[in-house]
Amino acid sequence: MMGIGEFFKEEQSFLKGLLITILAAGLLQFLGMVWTYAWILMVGAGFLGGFLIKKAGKGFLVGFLGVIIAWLIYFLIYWIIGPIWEFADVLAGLFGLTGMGFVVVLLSLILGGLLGGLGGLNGHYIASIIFETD
Amino acid sequence: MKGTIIKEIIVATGTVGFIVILTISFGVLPALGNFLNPFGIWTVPNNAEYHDMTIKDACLNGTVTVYFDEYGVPHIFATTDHDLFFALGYLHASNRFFEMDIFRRVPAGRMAELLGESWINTDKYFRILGFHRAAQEVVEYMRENQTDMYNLLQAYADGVNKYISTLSPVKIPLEYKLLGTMPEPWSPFDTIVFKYLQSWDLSGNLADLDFTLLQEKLPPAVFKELYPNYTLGMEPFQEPIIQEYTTLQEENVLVSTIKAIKALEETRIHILGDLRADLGSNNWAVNGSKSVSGNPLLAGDPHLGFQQPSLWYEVHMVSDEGYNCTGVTFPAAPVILIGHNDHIAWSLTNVGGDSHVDFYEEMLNGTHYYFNGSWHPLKTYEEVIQVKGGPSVTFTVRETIHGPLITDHDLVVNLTKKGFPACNISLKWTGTNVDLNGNFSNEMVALYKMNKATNFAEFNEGLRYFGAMQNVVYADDSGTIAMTVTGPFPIRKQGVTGVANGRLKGNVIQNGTGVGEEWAGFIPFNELPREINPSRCWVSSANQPSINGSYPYYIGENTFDRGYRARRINSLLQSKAKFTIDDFKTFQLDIYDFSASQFLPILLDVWNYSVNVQGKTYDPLVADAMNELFKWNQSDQRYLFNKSWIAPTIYDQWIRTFEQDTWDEFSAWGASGLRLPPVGILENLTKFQPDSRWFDDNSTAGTIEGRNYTMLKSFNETVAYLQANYGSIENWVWGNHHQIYVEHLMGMEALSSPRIPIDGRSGTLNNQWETGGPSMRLVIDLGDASTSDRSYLIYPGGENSNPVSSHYWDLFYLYVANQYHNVYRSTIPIVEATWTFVKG
Repeated sequence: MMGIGEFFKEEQSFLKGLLITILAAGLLQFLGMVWTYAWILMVGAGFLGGFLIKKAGKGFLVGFLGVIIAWLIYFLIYWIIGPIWEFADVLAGLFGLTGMGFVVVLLSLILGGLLGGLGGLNGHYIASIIFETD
Repeated sequence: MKGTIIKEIIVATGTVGFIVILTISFGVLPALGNFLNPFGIWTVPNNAEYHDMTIKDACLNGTVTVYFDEYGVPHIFATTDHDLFFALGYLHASNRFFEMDIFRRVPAGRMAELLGESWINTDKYFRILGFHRAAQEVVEYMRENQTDMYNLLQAYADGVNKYISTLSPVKIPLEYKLLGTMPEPWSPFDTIVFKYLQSWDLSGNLADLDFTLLQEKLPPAVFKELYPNYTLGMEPFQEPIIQEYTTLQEENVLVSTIKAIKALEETRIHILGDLRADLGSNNWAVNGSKSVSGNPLLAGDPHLGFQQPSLWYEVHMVSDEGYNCTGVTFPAAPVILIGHNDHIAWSLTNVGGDSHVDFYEEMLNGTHYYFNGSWHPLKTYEEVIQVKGGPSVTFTVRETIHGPLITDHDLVVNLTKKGFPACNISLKWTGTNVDLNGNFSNEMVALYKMNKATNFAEFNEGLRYFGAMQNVVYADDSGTIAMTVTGPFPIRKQGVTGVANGRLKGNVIQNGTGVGEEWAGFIPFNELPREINPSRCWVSSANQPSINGSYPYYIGENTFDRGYRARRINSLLQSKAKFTIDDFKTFQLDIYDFSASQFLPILLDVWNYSVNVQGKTYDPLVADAMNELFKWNQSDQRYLFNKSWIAPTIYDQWIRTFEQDTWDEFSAWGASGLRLPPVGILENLTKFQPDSRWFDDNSTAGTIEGRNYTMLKSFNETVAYLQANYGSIENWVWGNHHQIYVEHLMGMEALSSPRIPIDGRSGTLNNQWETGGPSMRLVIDLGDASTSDRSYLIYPGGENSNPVSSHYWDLFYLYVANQYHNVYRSTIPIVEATWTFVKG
């Protein structure tokens, strides 16, 4: 059985990193129910995924996609329980983008992705420093 | 390794920088991190609809059940009034908290705290008026002397605060997410300070300034001719005032000061609508002898500026302590302003008088003012305005015996700095000068009693506390109908030592040293103009003059409504022997323009004479436009402001042009833009004095023109204007240019209504202007009011302020389709959701 230290030392699959990021992002973002700044924790979610990835570009990508997917799941739940797309159109209208609600949704996802991506990049470099893999 | 550490430092720094950027607001853009994450703005749609829920609170006495009907209107059933008010507080807050916040912040001068430095001038204006100081006094008085009512206001505040306490990040209303701030708790003070704003905005505050300017600009004989006394038989008491006034030798000082105050008044926000528009209202009632059902019928529709969320929040309030009232509330106040219970119904229109505010020119000497022969210290208050995103602003408010010095506002002070002289003008307003222990002292007390009244005597007992000047129509199930002109109308005396004289008007700026008109009390409540069960079997009001010259007290003159709506209502109420509630709906939606019925036949005759007798020819477009008016006049749509017709656009523009052309002398006197003479004078001249000198074209020398010339000149100008602005004649359709638009309180188009063509005009019973009009319509049959098919109500908006709620615009779309909704009482056919408030 592989120890935890060895687990992190070994090159892990992109998919594993991605799943960990999605799970962490989903759970950490849930703190947003009570804490306005829970979105900052998306950096942490990306960090966890990136920590497993031995290439910088992939580290970024795992965080970026992981958080986007986690947030997308939230949006899908909202879509089921509320008129989120109508609301997206209203929001777009506030910023002069009438009828382009998808742009605001996309912006949200990209913002989350960037937070996760930067977290992933940090995770990758920190892992590299700790395990001296570079 | 070293390279990796450097890279990590760079990435970590970039990450922190990115996070910091996402937490900062840039101008109108909120902090994007808080805003765009899944638990930021995106939770707003989840709160759009009502769902069953239970709310626990220790301060409740028992259980309260709230049923939301298909229009989102809550029906609150409580055991005590305390719990009823608690639940209403919760409902107001959960549906309209941002609006409530605006309603309390504007009169307290605290908007800059929420929205930044652009509000500082408006905040200063209200701090000078001192509504927050007056409200504090009222709250302290109520706490000591009106404990029961105070406790109800506290219960309402507790309900509001209960809602606020539940606001986790996912439940914060949209507006606060946009502003990046959190709602603050509510208190009885907030309700009281709002009542000042409501009364002030309905006061028509500038009339005295207008009349002072007009007296400055117009030759005395002209002023007397064009702004006549409505109250016939008045004594020549004005003369001393005018003499007093002419001692103000430096005309420019006064004029520049008044203009500055007017500019100040015009630039600040008007919660109930723009005062330059035709604020007004209709109400009327008939007794059982004039209704098909044999019961009294009542109708009311206050005309105010539109806004989203609406000014109104409809509610049905029931308690075991005698409350069972339905109608509309202002979010911020826990009482029904217009509505009915099982026995009585009432509605309000504004009194168009000019007696609410008097202005005084004060003589100052540093820290003192001169009054009644000696110098008195000015009262001063240090005011601090907190400003969002900027340093706080500190300034001093000064008060004389009359009231605050409005000229201490920056707008006037800055004029002085630029070299314009200014004088010191204070203002005295009825709203802050009533005896807290007497009549007219507290709308909350008044409306609480009125909401629970079961007959006219009980209703009247509440009405005596009502502090705003209103024409109150009343009907009950015992057959009584009544109209009361109520409010604190000052009685004045000439100088401090003078004798009370009900005819004194205070309608121009007074000398503040004690020799001008001073207040000597108010018209006693029992002597206010009222009629109860008149022999004609109906009562009505539409902001026209309240009463004729036989009345011994002054209420106002020349500021009342033009009177066309009143004439139309009265003619309709005499048009049939008996009416139904559907007739009353039709009347409220009536688009017959009474002014057109008076002026248009004359214009057509003048045209016929010009073309057929005098043989004059006109530009083809002018002839086509006139042909549209002829077609209108000969059709079944005659004088109706139908959105599909072209003629209404032409008439609307023409009558305004004709008015301006007739009074073209005003610009020569430097009085353009000021209040024009009452339109009744123009109608009188047009009908009976076609050669009046007022029709002379001031721009032509050597010839004297008459009515016909001016009417046709105005018509040519009208056509030129319409062509220049709208293009070819087929584009002149009324509905293309007359469209209802309900703007969101934050001015955001995405949260505002679409622009929809709408019938009616400013001046028809359906008194529609583009950003205001009938803000609510209520009709009721006073039979068995406990049943659900007796009363109907509508307002252009919706109960819920969440922009994706199905109740955000639902009532608006009914409104623009000229529909009403059934006011449910004993049975609610569709219950959309149930909220239960329990002690715990």
